[in-house]
Amino acid sequence: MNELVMAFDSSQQALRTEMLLEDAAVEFELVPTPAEITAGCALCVAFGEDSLERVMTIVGEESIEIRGVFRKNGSAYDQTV
Amino acid sequence: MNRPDDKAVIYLDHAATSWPKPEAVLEAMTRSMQEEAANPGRGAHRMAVSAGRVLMRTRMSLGRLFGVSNPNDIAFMPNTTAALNQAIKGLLLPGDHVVATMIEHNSVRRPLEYMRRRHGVQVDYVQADESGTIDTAELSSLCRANTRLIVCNHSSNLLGSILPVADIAQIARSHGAYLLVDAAQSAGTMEIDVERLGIDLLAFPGHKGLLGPQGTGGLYIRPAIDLTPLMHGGTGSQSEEAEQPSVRPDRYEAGTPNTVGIAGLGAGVRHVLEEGAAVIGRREWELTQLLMEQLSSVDGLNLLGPKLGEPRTGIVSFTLDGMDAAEIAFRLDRHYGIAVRAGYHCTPLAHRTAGTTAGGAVRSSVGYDTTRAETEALTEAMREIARSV
Repeated sequence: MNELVMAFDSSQQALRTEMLLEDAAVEFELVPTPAEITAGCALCVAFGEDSLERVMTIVGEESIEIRGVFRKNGSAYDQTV
Repeated sequence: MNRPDDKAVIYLDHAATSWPKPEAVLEAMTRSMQEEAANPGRGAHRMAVSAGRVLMRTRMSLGRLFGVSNPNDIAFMPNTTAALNQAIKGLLLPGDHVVATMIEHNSVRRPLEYMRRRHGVQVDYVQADESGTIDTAELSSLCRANTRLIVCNHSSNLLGSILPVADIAQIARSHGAYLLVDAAQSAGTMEIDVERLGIDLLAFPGHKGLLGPQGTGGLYIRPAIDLTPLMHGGTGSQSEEAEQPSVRPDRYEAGTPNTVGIAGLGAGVRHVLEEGAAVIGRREWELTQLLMEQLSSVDGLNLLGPKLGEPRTGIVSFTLDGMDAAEIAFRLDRHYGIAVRAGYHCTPLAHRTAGTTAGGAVRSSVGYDTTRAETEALTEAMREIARSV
């Protein structure tokens, strides 16, 4: 279950994350950015809670610029990172 | 005269644009046009995302080639000129001082002179000697407290000479200035590691040594440097904001990119990575040495640039006593099917340096697929032309 959504300000930042997570064999999905998240680009990366630490490490090490990580809460999204 | 192989033309103008391109470049462009040339970064449908991946893959290959750890620090540009303009005009402010060399291309000289005229930027040019090298001590002595930028080519587009970029980077650092390198004649044929060499800004073409199509190129921008974008407009990101986004690469890539061209560039860069830039460069150097040896036996022919045995890129320029460069190039093309460039090569200052301001020079330049037979054909043609003077 991919309950977390990572949002970006650039689709190139999102697609770079996609390639890095693929290389690291992290399970994720490329999803459209939910309307509730005011993010800069149309693509988000969704993944499970248990991958959060790993994803944040990769994003940090590779200097990916993110808008934030969000968790679905009913009809809203709460920012967690 | 018999052509040395089945090519329709003996192409010795790689310093202007490499040709032909590797088959993989043509295939990548055809595939991109047929299957994935939607608008990258605009919309989330599969083909748009696929087009975005083409950009990212090419960016990553370029990152590998130039030692750039974060590919988003490379912005695509339509050519080296656009990259140099973005770097120069996006960095300099009134009162800033710049040091460049006397052997810069007009793509450096003209933006600098524009900034001098219109924006109160001060510019000094360090002299180069006849073979196209500079005295780095003199360069250092031209730097002042307000020197913000040093600009130099990696290799002269007229002489093929190679500048000591790592030494120049140290001079820039010691004066608190940035270094912008014009890699038009070295990208793809010399090893360039921006970290190791200390390059802050690297402008490069896609259509020369990187073997991609025209309309491609790029600019590496060190993460700590924020340039004012030259182009403002749609990026497919942060659309609600009136300001150009600060996120890279969008900040420097307004407008729909050349996706098909960038697909081809990616294939070209991967070809270079497989062969190795230094290996290609070494092969080209050997061809220049052979060509120089052969041409030096032609009566009245004067070779320009570094002497035999010294480092140079794939450029061999020359003059012939008693005949204008343009006439020589015309005859080579019409009578022998040999494509070279003649004239001033957008670098009038370098011609002043080389003493060829009056008649210009003929520039031949070899590429990754040039053969010995082709350089011999040029020599034979020049021998005949020289006899007719």
